[in-house]
Order: sequence, then structure tokens, then C-alpha cells
Amino acid sequence: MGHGHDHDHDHTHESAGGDVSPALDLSIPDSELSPSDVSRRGFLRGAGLLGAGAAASVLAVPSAAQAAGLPHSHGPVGGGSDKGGFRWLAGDHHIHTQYSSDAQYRVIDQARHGRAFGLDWVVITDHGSVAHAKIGVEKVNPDIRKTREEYKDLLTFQGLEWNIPAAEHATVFVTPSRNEVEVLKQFENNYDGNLLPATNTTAQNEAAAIAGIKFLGSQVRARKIDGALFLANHPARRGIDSPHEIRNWRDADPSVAVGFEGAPGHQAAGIPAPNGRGGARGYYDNNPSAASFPGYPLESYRTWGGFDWMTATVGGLWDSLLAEGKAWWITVNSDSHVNYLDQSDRGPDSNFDVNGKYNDPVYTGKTLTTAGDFWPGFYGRTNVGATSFGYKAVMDGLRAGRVWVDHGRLIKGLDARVRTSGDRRPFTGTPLGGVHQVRRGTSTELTLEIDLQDVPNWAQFVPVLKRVDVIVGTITGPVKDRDTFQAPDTKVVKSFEINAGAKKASLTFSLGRLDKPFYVRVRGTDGKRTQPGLLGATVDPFGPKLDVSGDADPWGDLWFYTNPIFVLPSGR
Amino acid sequence: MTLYRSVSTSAVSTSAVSGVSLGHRTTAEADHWILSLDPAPSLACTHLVQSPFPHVAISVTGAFETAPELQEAADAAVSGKFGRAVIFRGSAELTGTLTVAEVLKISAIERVEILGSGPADDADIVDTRDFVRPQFRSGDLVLTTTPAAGGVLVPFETREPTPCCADH
Repeated sequence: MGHGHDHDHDHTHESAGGDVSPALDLSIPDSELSPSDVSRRGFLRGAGLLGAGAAASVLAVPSAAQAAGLPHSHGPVGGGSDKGGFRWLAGDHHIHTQYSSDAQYRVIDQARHGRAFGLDWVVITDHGSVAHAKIGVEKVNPDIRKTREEYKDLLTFQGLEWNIPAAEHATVFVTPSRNEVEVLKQFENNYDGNLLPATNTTAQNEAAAIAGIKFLGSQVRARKIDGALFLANHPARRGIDSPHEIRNWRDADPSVAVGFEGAPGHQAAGIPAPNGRGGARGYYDNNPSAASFPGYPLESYRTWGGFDWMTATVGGLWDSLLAEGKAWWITVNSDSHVNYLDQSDRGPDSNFDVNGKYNDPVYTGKTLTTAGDFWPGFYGRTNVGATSFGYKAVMDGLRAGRVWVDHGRLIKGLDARVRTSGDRRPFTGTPLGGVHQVRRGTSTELTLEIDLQDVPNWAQFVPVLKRVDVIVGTITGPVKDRDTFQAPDTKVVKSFEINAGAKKASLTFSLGRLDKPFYVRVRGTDGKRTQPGLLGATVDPFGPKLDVSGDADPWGDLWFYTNPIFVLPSGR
Repeated sequence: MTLYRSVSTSAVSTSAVSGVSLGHRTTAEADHWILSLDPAPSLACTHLVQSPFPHVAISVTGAFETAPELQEAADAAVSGKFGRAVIFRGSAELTGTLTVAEVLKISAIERVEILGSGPADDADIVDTRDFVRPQFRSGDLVLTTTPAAGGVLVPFETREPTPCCADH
């Protein structure tokens, strides 16, 4: 490492996958690197492996950690400072097809619906399983390639839904290349929880999960693929993603494990009977099992305004990661298997175990009122700030945390930046996921340009944004107890009421003179269903409300969430 | 038996509670075993234990045999603080639709709460769905509920939660 410092903690550099090349240390300028390191840095930068989004902690910026009086984390440093406008590409990273034993559609069925409903990118994520590892992971690829050819304005990634050993499911996906199937197949066969020995202990399985994430990073570093990402799916659904596992995934390779679903899919599952399934929104109706993390409260097993408890709780698990300085991002998705009000069924005479897929779906004329899912793009959007339209650009934007999410097209667009106070130049300001570094004592402000919705959503109404909440938390550095899931210093610091009928909301919030490092994130709602947050009204006076079992109209309870922007002292 | 203070003082039986582990993987399996006991115990709870492997152990009135390798789980169950009650005073009467006041009157349940919102009102309606599994919390037997369609409360735990990879 090129920076000198005193410390007594371990120097394992795990976050860089064991790579301690000076190329990773952005405190060393390009001019002082050897030509081979310059080349390596260029490759790493191109692969999205440099930058705050790729570091275990934003405090990996050494000067920032020192200036903040906090121990710094090790890992690739710097970055996260892209300025200016981006092309926002909407997508869905969690979609099943006929290659999942509990789903039914063709790849092209899902892709073209997603495209019609406004998506720019989709990820095909069939369940990891014996049949999928043996057959499906290969057989789905020609279908995906054909879809790419057919719809060139839609980015169709191949991925899979990993059974994380000892934990929930996760989206794992890679950039398209001639190696995409080989990498995914090897990953699934070696690391899928369903394919590991049933005699494994919890510790062995947790280690296998970490090894799996590291394997993906190794495939990028070996240049077999340009990028691979991991997003933990429906993390609180069954209480089996413990806080320390989530932290371990992130730290295993922060260029791969970048976040979790802020809201689960299956958002139609709570539509009341007889017109809907009358179940639990997101299928979140479980209770603690022997595999659950014992510390999670019962509140964690249900959705709040359609969102997962880890994200919906201000000062909760997500905030506890951000307060550590861990760059960890949220998404939304459809988790589409079988879609609400569709009129098809699995093809007759299917033999999934033999063929690795169901036969093509057939039209039945029977309306699926009890299906719990929406088509991709119909309800939730993960909006990624990309530098261009392309597979790698989407992955880079996701990895950088330039991401905001909404349900039911609550808003049309959003530009959130932290600025040094008074600087309104269009090409300055730190975007979502970024690190804004200024001298201690410098005033900063959050600027929000929200394009309010003026076209109908897919339920044929124009959503109305009522309130925007600004959430701020101090960054206090790494936690001692890796099962921590509260951030006591994080709370809603400002709520803006939005004027009905406005076309645009331009909001500014002063973040004060920089004293301690902090992060800021933003949330908005149609205001139809709120209750005091789970950590009290002083933390979150108008938080999301517990979804009603069997009566959760997803269109009557809309929220958007942004990812955070970090503000750190530069120490110079 | 300070653990079951509120139940043992008000429960129909004063029999001693013992721990047992049969290595049940799920609460449903443990419930099935408990409900098949004849004669029925006066109190039976499930406990989530981690050792020697994650499973569901049981505390129950009466004496039952546990294999030596599961004894630590049985011991953990009998000293567990968060028992999930399957059989308790009045549990057989908790069927159909009842007011909160009725639940408190006819059973050993001491509090009915709404998830994330605090205590329920005495007049609130609980649709028991014939499946009521309150939990001991600080020695009190508490039934956590959630709002459900039709303006009623339902017990937090449902008999058939959505399985991991449901055929939905």
C-alpha cells in the first residue's frame, strides 16, 4: 500500500480479493505508477473494480477515515465521485421463466413485457437447482441470446437465483460474453446451497457463500467476464439472512456483493379476494424457524409499505450498514413467476426434471386472479444512473449505487446530489451512491430535482407525490458486533410536503457545516398509508405502515427510495 | 418454574415442565407431535434451538425421553425464555372469532398486541383461524396479531406460511 499509517488491525485486504497492487490505491497518482500498474488500474477502472462502490467501506478513502478520526477499512479506494447527469435506465434484476420449477413463461415473454412496460434492462434469474445446474443454465442461454437479437433496445442479462448456502436467495448475474454460461454453471455447481452436502454445518455453509462470492470476483479478475453482481433477494422474508452474513457477503468481494432488495417482488399477492389472491404482500407471511437469526423481531417478517423491514425501518438494518460506511445498495424487482390476471398456464405434458424446463405456456382463457406477481416493469422499477446504454454501464451504475427505486411510477424522474453549498453548476454535485469529500467546516446541501408524474402508470392513474423525507445518519465506522442491526443516530431530519398540481419539485436542504462524516438518503410517498416508524416517532414520524394481510392494494400505497450519498471530510 | 410464572399460577395443571427434543426440523413437526400426545399435556411450548443443530425442541408437562445427543437441546428448551405455546390454558377454546377481551378471559394469554403498533383494544376482533400460537415474553404470554382483510386481527403466525419456493 502506498499510504503510510499506524494501526494494529489485520491487513488481510480481503475486499480486494487479496490484490494489493498499487494500482488499487488511488492515493497514488497514475504518474507515479509503473506502466504495468497503470495498465492494471485502467483495466480495473474499466471493470468497475475501482471506486467507493467497489470498496468495502467508503472509509477506505484513507484521508477521509483519518480526518474523521475513524479507523479506515482497506480495499480499493477513491472513486464514487462521478458528477453530472446520467442516463437513467429502468430495470428488474429478478425474473423467472419456464426454466424455474415454480414458474412458466418463456424468456421472450418476460423480456418483451418488461420492455413494453418501460424497462431498459432485465435479468433472467431462474432458481438454482439440480435440474437447472445440469440442464437449464445452458438451455436458457440460446433463448436469452435470441431475445437480445430480437430486442436490441433491451439489455437482457443472464443470471440465476442462487440458493445462498445457509441463507436466502440472491440474484447473481454476469455481463454477456462467450463465457457467461460457463461461469454461471461452474458457480452454481460449486456453490448453490441446494447442491451442497446436506450434512454441512451452518459454519460450512456460511463459508461456502463467501467462497461463492469470491469465485465470481475471481472470474472478473481473470477476465473471463467483464462483471458479476450479487444482490440478496427478499432478505427479511424468513429471518435467515443474519446481519453478520450480510456483512460477510459485502466484505467477501465488494465489487460483486453490492446490495439487497429494498422491496421484494410478488407485490400483487396482497390484492384482496375475490379479485386477487388475498395473501400477504410480497408473500411475506412467515414466522421464525430454527434457521432464523434469533435476534430479529417479529416485525421483520412482514412488509411495510411494500418494503422489506431491513430497508423500511429508519435506523434499521440497512442504516446500520450505511452508518458503518459500508456501501450497500437497495433495489426493487418483480420476482415474476406467474403473473396476476394473465391467462396462460404451463404447457401440457411438461417434464421439468427431464427437460430442465416446462413446455411453452399455453393460453387458457382463465384469468389468474390468485397469482401474486406483476410482469417485469409493471409495478416496480430499479432506476440506474448509467454513463451510456450498455450491459457494463448498467452494472457499473448498480455497483456505484447510482440507483433509486419506485413502485407504481410514483415519480417520473429524480436527480439527487450533494453539493458544496451554493455550487449549482450542472456538472458538479455528487450523485446517489457517491462520496462527497470536502474540508471539515465546509457547508454542504442536498439538492433534489424531482420530475413529478404526469403520465398514468400501468393501473391507469397518475400518481401524486405527497411527501418527501430526508434521512440522515452519522457514519460511526465499523461495528464491533457484526450482528448489529440498528443505527441509533439515523433519523428523518426533514419532510417536504409537495404541492398538488406542480410539475416539478425543486427541493434544497442544508446539511450544515461538515463536522462528522454522514450519509443522506431520501424517501417519498403518496402519503396514503403511514404510521410512526418502528424505532419511534422521533426517528420517523410518518413511516411506512404495516401491510394488511389479505388486503394490501399495491397501487394505494406507493413509495420511492433513493440510495445514500456519503459526505466525508477530506482532511486537507 | 419462574419461566412459566403466569401460566403455572393460572393454568389448570401444576405438573412439572420438562424439556424434550426429538430433533424436529420445523415447528409444524413439533406441533404435530405435541398435539398427538394422549393424554394431552396442560402446557406445551416449542423452542428454536441451535445446538447440536438448528431444530425445534419442546417444553411440556410430563416426562418424555430424549436421546443423549439431543439432551442439551432439551435442557435449552426447559430453560428457554421465548417459548411458543401450542397447548396452554384455554387454548382449545380459542377458535372462530373472538374479541380481545374474550381471548384474555378464556385463556392464559395475558396480552394481545398488534405488530408494530402496541396493545390491541379489548373490543378488537380476533379471527383466530383456529390456530393460535402466543409466545412467552418476559414471563408473559403474548399473542401478537396483524391487521387483516375485513377489519379484523389475525394471529401473527399462520398455519401454512408460503414455502420457500412455492408453486405460486
